[in-house]
Amino acid sequence: MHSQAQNPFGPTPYERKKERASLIAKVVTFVMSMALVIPMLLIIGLIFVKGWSVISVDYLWENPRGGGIAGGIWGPLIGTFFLTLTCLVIVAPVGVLAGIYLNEYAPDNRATRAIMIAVTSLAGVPSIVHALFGLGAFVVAMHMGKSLLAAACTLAVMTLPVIITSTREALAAVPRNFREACWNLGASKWQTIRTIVLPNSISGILTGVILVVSRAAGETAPIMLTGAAAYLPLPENMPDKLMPYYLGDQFLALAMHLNVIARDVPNMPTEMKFGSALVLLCLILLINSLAIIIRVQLRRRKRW
Amino acid sequence: MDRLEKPIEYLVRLCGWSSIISVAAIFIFIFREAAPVISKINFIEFFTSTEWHPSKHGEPGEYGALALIVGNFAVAGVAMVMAFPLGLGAAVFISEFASPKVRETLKIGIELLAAVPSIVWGFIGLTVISPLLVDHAGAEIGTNLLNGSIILALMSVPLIVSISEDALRAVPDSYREAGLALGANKWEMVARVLFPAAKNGLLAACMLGVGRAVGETMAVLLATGNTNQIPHSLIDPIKTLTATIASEMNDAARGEEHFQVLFLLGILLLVITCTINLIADLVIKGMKGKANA
Amino acid sequence: MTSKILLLSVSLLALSLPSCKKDSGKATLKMAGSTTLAPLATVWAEAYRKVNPELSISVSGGGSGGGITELTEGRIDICNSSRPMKDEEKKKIKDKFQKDAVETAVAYDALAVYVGKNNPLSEISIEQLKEIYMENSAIKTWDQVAPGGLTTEIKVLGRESNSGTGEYFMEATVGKGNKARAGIAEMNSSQAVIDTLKTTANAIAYDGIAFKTDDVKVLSLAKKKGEPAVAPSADDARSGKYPLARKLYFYTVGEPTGAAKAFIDWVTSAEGQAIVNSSKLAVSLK
Repeated sequence: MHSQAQNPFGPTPYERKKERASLIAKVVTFVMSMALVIPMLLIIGLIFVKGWSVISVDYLWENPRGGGIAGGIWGPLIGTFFLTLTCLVIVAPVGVLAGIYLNEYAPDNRATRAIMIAVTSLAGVPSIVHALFGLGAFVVAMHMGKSLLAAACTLAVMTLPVIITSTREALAAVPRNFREACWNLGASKWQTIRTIVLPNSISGILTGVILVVSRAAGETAPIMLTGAAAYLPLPENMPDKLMPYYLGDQFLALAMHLNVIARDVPNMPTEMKFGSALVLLCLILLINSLAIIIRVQLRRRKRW
Repeated sequence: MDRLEKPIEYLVRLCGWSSIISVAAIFIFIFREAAPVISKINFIEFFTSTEWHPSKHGEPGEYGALALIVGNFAVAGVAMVMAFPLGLGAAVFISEFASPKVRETLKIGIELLAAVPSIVWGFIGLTVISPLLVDHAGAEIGTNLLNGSIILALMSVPLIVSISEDALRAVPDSYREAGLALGANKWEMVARVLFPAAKNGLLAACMLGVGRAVGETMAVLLATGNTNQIPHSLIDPIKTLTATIASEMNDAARGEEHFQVLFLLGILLLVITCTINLIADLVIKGMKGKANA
Repeated sequence: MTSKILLLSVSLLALSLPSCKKDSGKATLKMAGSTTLAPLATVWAEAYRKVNPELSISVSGGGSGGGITELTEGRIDICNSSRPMKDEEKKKIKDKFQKDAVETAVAYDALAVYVGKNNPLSEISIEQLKEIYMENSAIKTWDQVAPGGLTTEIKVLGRESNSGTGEYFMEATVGKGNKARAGIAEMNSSQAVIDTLKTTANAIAYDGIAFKTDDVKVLSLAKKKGEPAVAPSADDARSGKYPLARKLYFYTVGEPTGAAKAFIDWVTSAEGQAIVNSSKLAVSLK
């Protein structure tokens, strides 16, 4: 109070109180943010610490043996790869075209709004309901049986809204006058999309594709009922080891493998459980980081 | 190229309808599997009894899903009680106080956390949180309501933070400036100006969080203890609709009553989550409508 | 640009196409069923590759009931079952294929009753287990089970009632058709059973003997109160002296032939049975 008398331009007690309140608000919300961030970092750190000791080239390259208790995670890893790839082959063309339809062709009418509601609803359907759908539709009704193809189809339906939404956003970011310029040159609608709109939005679409990969690689419930096996003897001889599953076969997948060894394998060494969790976590975080990097690059390079 | 113009347009249009086709197919195929049991089941028992004894090999079973429904909402509700205040606090920090650099870092971190697979969260609940609850919370069984809620809270926080943050940033700066100019401190400005202005978005964030939490399967399956009972305390083990489907479906053969009832649970789950999501969507739309007006 | 996208999708497709092509040179044997038997069947299948590298064997779960359904629908060659087939299931197979379902016992499975490490109780009878696990059970504390027991509340753990293990235990103790006590914590994994016992001193649980660790105590079992209790050993599981032991079966439609016969013969041979013991997943036939 004394110093204020000396400096007539210093803050008044009222202003100081306000300053203090703002500071408290900042600190409190910061602490709340940290209350979320710190436990998560601790947990992820713990998985790293406990799982790190088993990670080796052999662990990644060997098939699980003895029902998961020994060996590595090659089979589940390659299974996740083929599953994601098959899912992508199915969902990427459909999803991208659907995004193109919604942004470029769809009239502003009730039907389009219904499509948008369907996209939102589809995104909100619980994964176990997708699993039931996959079981009822692909496994049973379409006679695919429990197989890689049925699981990939189920995941494709589940990830459809992800790719539709990101494609649509990527297309919407292309300024309208780009299209108009192209139409004025006499190009047709599809020509415009092909030559102007798609090239300018490819990074955004790619981000969506990557998010699909991350979703598909991490899901357990939908594949558990539609084709992922708990245990599977896998070929060790060379060409077959790289491609151990046919589309009609059951398969191993990393997420399902973690589910099984975490719960149901007698005398499973703890560090191997953490090892599988670590590999799955790293895989997903890497895929997502890739999406983030592409997005940041895209923002930086934007020419309009 | 002109020759291709029409076929391509038809193809694009067909793909455009894929989401509607998918939603319709989900309803049709799940109803198809559940249909034989819908006429047979006693719905009063289904919604009011806690006796869940699936039939085996043709013996009659009892299907009271009350404890499963209560368990599902209990775990989602407790998760929201934990996640929403913290998530909202974090959203306020990110949108109002953080420097742009800190904001970008936090947002990327949150996005990465949102991607952590649910089986990994379940694994954490089973191996990390469960012993902690036994040692420090006096729980007899470490996989219980509280364990599941903590896991679900951590899982749904990224969603809550990002939607809340969007809602807060959608409030025009002029509101903030007006609040501050009227002599409010930042605390008051956030509580009295921002929250009311963004309340629809915040409500939607909370609802979408509930929707996410209700539908979550693997994490809940591993973390909640799978006991068919109505919980009386936070550390009671429970069982949810989602976990019931996931754990029992593998042992139920097609054609059995049990198999069909599990599809019925799926319909119930679908109806619950669709309702929550559609209401949240309307709330968000309402918010946008107001902003445009 | 589109051509690039097209090229990309075509190459992706091409990459996954070989996975459609069935390798016809190789014989396959498909097995499905009991989740108890699945890990053991996998170990057998892995080891059998050394015997016959040309045969590829697939094993999947689905539960005993699921496996029997798949066998009835002709989708698999061998059904793994942790229980004998019911008469109406046998009849369905007979009606469809005009052949009998043929059962081959391949191993024994013994369930152990587990309690906390510091529980003073060392033996229990099937009757007592029934009193603990049955509906409206009067037993609330450990000293009601046996005098001198813990005075703490008894925490009853189980497995999902529809899992092979849970179904077998309940039938063997509480009896077929009787309901279980309310509020049994249905552990959905064996790991959860052991983890919970480790931390909960007053719990009782059952699971495959393979899950035994140093952190839990295995009780000896008597058929009735007062009869001598038997610890779960391999010999007593085979002889039937130990009350909670059952056979695990392979089922085929008709007498097994060709690759299936060779595989089943090998499984029941000394070589195949040695693997059962070394894997610790079950108890060998001899």
